[in-house]
Amino acid sequence: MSALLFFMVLGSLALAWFGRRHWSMTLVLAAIALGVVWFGHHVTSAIHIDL
Amino acid sequence: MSYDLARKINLIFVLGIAGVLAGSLTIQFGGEYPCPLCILQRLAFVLMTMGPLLNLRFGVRQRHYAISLFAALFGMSVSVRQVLLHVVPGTGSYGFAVLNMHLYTWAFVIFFMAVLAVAVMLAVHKEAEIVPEVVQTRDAYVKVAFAVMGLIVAIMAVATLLECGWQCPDNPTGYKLL
Repeated sequence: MSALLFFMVLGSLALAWFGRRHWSMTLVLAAIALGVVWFGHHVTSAIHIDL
Repeated sequence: MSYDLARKINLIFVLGIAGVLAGSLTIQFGGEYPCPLCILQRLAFVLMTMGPLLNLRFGVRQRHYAISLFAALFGMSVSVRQVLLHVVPGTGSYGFAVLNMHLYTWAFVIFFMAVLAVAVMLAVHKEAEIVPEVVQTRDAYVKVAFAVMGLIVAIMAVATLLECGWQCPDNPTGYKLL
């Protein structure tokens, strides 16, 4: 999963280099969103509390 | 602030973060494997540089700075989580300390400074308010910034794939796929 996110950034860099600004920004935002989801899963699976 | 000065500051931002990431790779290849939270912090650093990279390539714009802010806030959340895991005395730590602070604490400080830097740039650089025409540039600044970050991200992607496969172990002791 984490490697996939780095490859997404690499793709985003390539898109920016070839002038695809909107696709590059979309891919970066998608990587941030996936990172947040992954982090959320990491935190919620490690904490055991009753709310 | 002149447009050229703003671009220079964006380039310095990229090279500064590239230095931090190169340091983390040096530590990794020295035998200390990054934990899952450490990898997420690296990812946030990389994502944070996308704002300045887009600024250099397509002209300085608010939306590009927003990407850096999103990534910095994400990185701050991850580093605070790791600080909180180890902040109580006796609960251990991950990795070694530099100047009495662990690397995840330094990461938090750098993310904080980055948010501050972006806020200052948005405050003092008037051209970022106006939405200019998208100008595509591939000058020396762009070439240097993209080459450095492309190399670092490629190394990190392969190293992370080799270390983690699909899922990273909590306390990695070697490369899973080697």
